[in-house]
Amino acid sequence: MRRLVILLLVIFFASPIWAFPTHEDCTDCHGKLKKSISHQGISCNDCHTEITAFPHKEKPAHPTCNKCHSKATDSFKKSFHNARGIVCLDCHSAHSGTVTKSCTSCHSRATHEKLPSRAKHLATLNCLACHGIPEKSGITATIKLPAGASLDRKDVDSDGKGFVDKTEWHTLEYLLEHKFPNSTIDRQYWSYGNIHNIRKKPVDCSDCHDKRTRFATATAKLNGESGYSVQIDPGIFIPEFPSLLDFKKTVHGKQGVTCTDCHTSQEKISDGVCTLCHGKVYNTYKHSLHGRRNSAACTDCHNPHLIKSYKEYNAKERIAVCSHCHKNYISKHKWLPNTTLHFQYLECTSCHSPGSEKSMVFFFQKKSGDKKTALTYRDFERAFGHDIEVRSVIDKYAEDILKGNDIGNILKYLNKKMDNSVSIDAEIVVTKVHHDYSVTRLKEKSCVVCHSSQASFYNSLYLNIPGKEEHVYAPVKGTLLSTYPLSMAMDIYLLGEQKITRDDISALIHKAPENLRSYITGLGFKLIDLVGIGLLILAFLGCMVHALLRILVVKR
Amino acid sequence: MKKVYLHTLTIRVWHWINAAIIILLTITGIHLRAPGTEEVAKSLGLWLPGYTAAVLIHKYAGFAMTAAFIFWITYILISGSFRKHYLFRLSDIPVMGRQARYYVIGLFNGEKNPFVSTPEGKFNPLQKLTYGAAMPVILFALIVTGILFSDIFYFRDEIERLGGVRMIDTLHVIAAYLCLLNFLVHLYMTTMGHHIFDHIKSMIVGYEEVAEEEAEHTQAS
Repeated sequence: MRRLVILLLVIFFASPIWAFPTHEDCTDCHGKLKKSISHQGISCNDCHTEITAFPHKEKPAHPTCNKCHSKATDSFKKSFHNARGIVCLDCHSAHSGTVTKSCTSCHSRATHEKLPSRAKHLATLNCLACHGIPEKSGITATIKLPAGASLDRKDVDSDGKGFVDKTEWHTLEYLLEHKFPNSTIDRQYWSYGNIHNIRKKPVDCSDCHDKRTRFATATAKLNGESGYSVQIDPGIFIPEFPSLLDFKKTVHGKQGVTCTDCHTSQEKISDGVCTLCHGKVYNTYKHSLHGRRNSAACTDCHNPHLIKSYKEYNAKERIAVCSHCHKNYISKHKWLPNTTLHFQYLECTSCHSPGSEKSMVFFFQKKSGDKKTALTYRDFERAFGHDIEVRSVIDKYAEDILKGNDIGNILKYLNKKMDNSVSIDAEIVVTKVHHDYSVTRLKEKSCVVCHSSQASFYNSLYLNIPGKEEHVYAPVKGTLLSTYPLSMAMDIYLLGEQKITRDDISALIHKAPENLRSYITGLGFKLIDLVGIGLLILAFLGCMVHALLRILVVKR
Repeated sequence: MKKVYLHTLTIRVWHWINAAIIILLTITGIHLRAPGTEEVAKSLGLWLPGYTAAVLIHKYAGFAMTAAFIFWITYILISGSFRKHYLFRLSDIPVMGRQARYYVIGLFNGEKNPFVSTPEGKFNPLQKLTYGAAMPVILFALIVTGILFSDIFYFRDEIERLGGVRMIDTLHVIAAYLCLLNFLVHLYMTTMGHHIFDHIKSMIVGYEEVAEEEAEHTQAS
């Protein structure tokens, strides 16, 4: 046993680990490095493996980084920088383990002259956002309220869906401006990821402005006591802008309009360019309130590069166009009962453009959790098979007009396929646009304009059928409202009792004495209120006269 | 003067609760019928809840009135009060004319009220017709249509059977106007006691002061 212990001790002390130079052995000669060596606490011979004894070779081989940093070096090999002969140590200090050069150390003269909105892009984005492949990216809008102030979650996310869309954001901006003028919104476009694989060619504009391969999510953070976060539409901060390739799919692209048809100079497109084709519409517009005041040019409301035509917009997307300027539209409509609910089903021009044709447009929607979203073409493909033509599936007998049963049968089938999550909803949108929006201060405030069988949109019913490229508005037979399914009609058709107006009272004085019958027929259900209020006034006056007589005449 | 015990504590408590409910229903009902009322009220310096709140208040106050109505019907039937005070009899018919004549002519000539309330019969024939027949029917119609309105999806089939939402609404509003008319006249009639606030006071304390000869005169007749 004693011999064995001695043998082990001899082997231990004779082993090569005692032969390797220590950190201090190296710094004895390389004193300059004494302070700077801090590469994650590793020792010299972890990298300089070749040096096993002193004195070492005068010029030992350069250590390789990939022993520890294989992921970064593999990535770097594919990069533009590697092709240009740049090595790790050109940007990193091996002894301190730090980055010694930033992008601008070499690219100080990167002017980005061709970059549209150059200053805006350079001020908000880091190099990686466009020249690298970010693993994660997003936008964070931090809303800083003044000390002690708080905002209710409902003020930010009015429909409670956990997602703030453009219209809700516009309303919030207005609220902040008026309620908390000292508040600020700090926007941060952040991205991080693999910085080693830098590409020579930056991303295409459409990566952010159309396909959204980066900055696809946005979050609003509210500071203060009631601080919380909510997801928001990234389109609020990064406007939609199609690539040249996608332009062919846009309304203008399909009509054969080319870039140079409109962009005859570097100047911003003026209304004059639009009138070359849209002269008739512009003529209506220029006499309207907006046109007379020069308050909005065509391109302020219409994006000529959009893939989606205005007709494809749903009610909320249309409100977003108007609320871009009219941010206070909610507070202006406080008189309207259930204001936010109404704005989920109406667009501004439903009321403010009397010359337009309004329609009730039905659409299929699916429920997932608390969120309801309109069915897309993909949903129909999943239910009915690839490359389906949805219209022919719904309208089996290829009639011009859809019937209640056609829609009912499809609804049943969809529910079977999609766990009973599908329902039908409707919104009131303008289907034939008239460009005069001069009608403001609608004093009528009468529910019966919409909530009655006389509402104009009941004569114009459509079903929104999603298509592969664009949706179709298929006309629907009016009897749908009374046949199937009842609930969707009742949601909107509820009540609709007419109220007495000043005109009715004036007609009572002027028209009724001559033609009582036609006056009463014209009143319809309003007669209940007229007779009821009349009787109440008579009863009140009767009581007053009786009381007066009691005071004056009673003999005691 | 003689004190006559007219209203039991139960009836008095029920009466004032019911009155509060009806006032609440009237205000919110006007609001519902004419959206924008709160704006008008605001311009007059009055505060009214928003439309959404008005809908909810009206709905739950309606349920409260239903409960009060059921309680009242049950109470007057079980206690025998209905037979004693509310039941309109054939013998009441000739008195009806006299009572109406008193309100229109007799009162101003200094004639005595042909009817004086006693614990054995506190309502004159006109009141019996109003409280014992007309109002229960009107309130019943109001309550039934109101309950149907409380959830139009749940009661969808019943509403369709009765002629649709518009028909229910028409019935509800007509009944509401009749109820309001009754409320207005009822308020005025409270001033017709011996003194102007006698009737109101009796609905608070239970006793009403009646001239002794009046009480004797009624008992004798």
